[in-house]
Amino acid sequence: MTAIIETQQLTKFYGSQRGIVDLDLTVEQGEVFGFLGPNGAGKTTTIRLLLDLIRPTRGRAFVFGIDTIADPVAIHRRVGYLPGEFALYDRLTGGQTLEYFANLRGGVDRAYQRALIERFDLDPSRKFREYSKGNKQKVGLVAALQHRPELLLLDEPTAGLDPLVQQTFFAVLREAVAEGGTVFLSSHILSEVEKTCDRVAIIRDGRLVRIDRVDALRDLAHHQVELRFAGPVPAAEFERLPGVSDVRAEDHVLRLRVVGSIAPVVQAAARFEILDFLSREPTLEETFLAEYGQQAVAVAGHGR
Amino acid sequence: MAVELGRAPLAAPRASVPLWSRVYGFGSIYAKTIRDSRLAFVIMAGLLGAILFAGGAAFGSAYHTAEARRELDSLVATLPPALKGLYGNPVNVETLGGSLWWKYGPWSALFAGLWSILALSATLGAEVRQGSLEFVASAPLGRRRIAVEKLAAHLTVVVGVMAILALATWATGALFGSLPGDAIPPSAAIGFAIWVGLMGLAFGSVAFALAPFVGRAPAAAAAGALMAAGYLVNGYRSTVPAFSGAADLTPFGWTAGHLPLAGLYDWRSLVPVALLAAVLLAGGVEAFARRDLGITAAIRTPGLPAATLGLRSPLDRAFGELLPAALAWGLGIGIYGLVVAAASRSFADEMRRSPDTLNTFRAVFPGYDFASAGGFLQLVFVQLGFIVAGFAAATLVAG
Repeated sequence: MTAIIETQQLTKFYGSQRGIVDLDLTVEQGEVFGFLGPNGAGKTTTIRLLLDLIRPTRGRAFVFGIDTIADPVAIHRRVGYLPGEFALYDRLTGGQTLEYFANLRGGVDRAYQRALIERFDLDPSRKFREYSKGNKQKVGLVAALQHRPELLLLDEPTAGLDPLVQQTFFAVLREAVAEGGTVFLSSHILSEVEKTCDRVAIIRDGRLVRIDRVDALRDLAHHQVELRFAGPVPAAEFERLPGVSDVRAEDHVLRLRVVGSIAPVVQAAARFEILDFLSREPTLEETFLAEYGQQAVAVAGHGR
Repeated sequence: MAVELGRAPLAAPRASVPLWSRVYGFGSIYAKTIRDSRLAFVIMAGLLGAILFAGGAAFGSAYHTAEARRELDSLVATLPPALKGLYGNPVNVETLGGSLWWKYGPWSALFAGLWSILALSATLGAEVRQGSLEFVASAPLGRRRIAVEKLAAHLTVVVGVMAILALATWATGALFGSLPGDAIPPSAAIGFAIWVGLMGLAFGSVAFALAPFVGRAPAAAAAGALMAAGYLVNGYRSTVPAFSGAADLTPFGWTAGHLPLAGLYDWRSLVPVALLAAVLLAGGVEAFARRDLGITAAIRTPGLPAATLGLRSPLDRAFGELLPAALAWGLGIGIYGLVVAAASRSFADEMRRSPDTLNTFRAVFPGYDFASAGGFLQLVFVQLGFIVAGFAAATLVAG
C-alpha cells in the first residue's frame, strides 16, 4: 500500500493555544479515512496543515510523499478540498463560482462538472447569496470534486445536506475511491463515519487517542447485554465476571456491559432460568461515548 | 433529483481558458479582481474626474478677469494658518491649475489613499475572513502568485483611474482656462495624476503589508491614521515648527515641492514614494506567502462599557452595533470642525476685505452672510458633507 498522507509528530500551537500535538497518522491509498473528534479537537487544524494553509510548530506532514512545506502547489494540484466553514462570492452565481475555481485549477472536465451539478441537484444560475446552507455546501462539494482529485480532504462535508443528497455524496465518494482515489473525511457525526469510512482516527484535545479500522473499533468495544430472569436477579454472580461492568438490576431484568469475550456471561446465565437474552453490538457512537465520555461528542459547531 | 451518471472518461475534452477571461472575468485571480473592481473604478474615476472638471468650470466662471484673480490671490495669501494647514500652501492660485491644485490636489490624494487602503487591506483580508480564500489557496497556484495577481489587478485599476484623472485635468485646462497661464499642459496633468496615484498606493501599501499580521480592519485603521497624521503634520509644519521633523518622514513632506498643476515639478521626489510603496507591497506579498492563512495577532483595543452593547432589544443592539463607528466618525468630524471654527473669524474678516469674492459666494449661496463667522462655517460644512459622502462612497465600493 502507498501512504498518501503521513504525519510525524505534527504539532501546531497558535501562540499559547493548542491546535494539535504530536499527531502521527498514515492514510493509505484507496482508503476512506474518518477523522473524528469533538469541537475544538484539532480536526480542521490538521487538514489546514496538510494543505500548508498553516505551518506546523514542529513535526512534519507528507502528502503523496511530498513535504507539505516544500511543495504545496504540487500537492494542491492533486487534492480537492472542502473547508468546514466557508462563504463564497455573494454576487456570483453558483455556475460562475464553479467556473472560476475550474479555471484556477485548469484541466477540469466540463462534462464531469455538469454531471456533478446534476447529481447534486444544484441550480447553478442562482447567486450564491440566494442559496440555502445546503445548496452552498453543494457548490463547495462540486468545487472540491470537479477536477477528479486523487485525494479529497473534506471537513464536515455533509453539513446542511438533506439525506437524499447525502446519499448522492456518499455514492460519489465510493466512485472516487473505486477509481483509486483516497478520502480524508473529518466529522463529528459518528454514524456518518461508521457508514462511510474504512478506518477512523479519534482525536481529542489535539491528541490522537485511537486509530483503527471501524470494524475493529466496534469489535473491541463493549456489548450491551440484557438478561430477563424467571426468578430473582442474581446480580452478584455477574458482577465478578471478567470484562463485566455497569451491572444494573431492575425487577427481573439485569443489564450489564461486557468488554471482550461474552462467553463467561453466557456460561453464567446458563445456570439460571432465563426468559430472554439480548446482546446488542454497539454503534460506533455508543463506543465513542463509552470510551471518551459524553463531553467528547458535543455535536454543535465544528472542530478546530 | 439524483441522476445516475458515472464519471466521464478521463480522456474527455478539457476546456482551456480564453485569453480575455484571463484578463477580465473568471479566468484568473487577476481577471476576477479586475471584474470585482469595476464599480470602484467607475466611482473613483468619476469622482476624481468630476471634482476637477466641476472645480475648473466654477473657477472659470467665477474668476474670469485678471482683477478677480488678484483678489483671490490676496484673499488666499491672508488665509489664517489653521486653514492653510488644512488645505495646504497656496501656490499660483491666480491660475486655473494652481487654484485646482490648492483646492483639490491634496484631497484627491487623500481620496485615492482611502480607496487604496480599503481595497488593499481587503483584497486578501476580506476573502480570508469569509472563507473563500481557503478554496483559492488550495488551488495549485502558490500564495505568492495569489497575492501578486490580486495586487496587479489593483495596480491596473489605479493606473486606469489615474489615466482618466490626467485626461480630465488636461481637458479642464483646455475647456475652462480663460486667461494666460490657465492652460494645463499634458506633463502637468500626468504629473498630478502620477502623484495622486503614488500617494494613494503608498498608504494603501501600508495597509497591505500590515493586513497579514493584524487583519483587515486594524491594518486599514493604522494606514488611515498614518495618512491623516502625515497630511496634517505636513500641512501645519510652518505653523508648528515642532512638526517639521515628523513631516519630513511622510510622503506629503517628500513631495511638497511637486505641484505640477501650479507649475512646480519635482519628479525625483516621487521616487522615494514609489520605492516605499514597492517595498511595502513586496513585504505584504511575502508576509501573505509565509504566514499562516487567516491567523492574525489579536490587538487589544479600548472597548466601550458593556452597557452600551445593547442586549435588551433589537433596537438597542442596532445602536450598540453602530456606536463605535459613530463615535469614531464623530471624533474625526469634531476635530475638523474645531480647526475650521478656530479659523472662521479670521476668514470672515478677510472675506469682508474682498468684496468681489464675497459677491461671488453670495451669488452661489444666496441668503448667507459669508462676512460673518457663522456664514463661513455654514459654507465649510457644506463641503464637509461632500467629504463625508466621498468617504462613504469609498467605504461602500471597497466593501
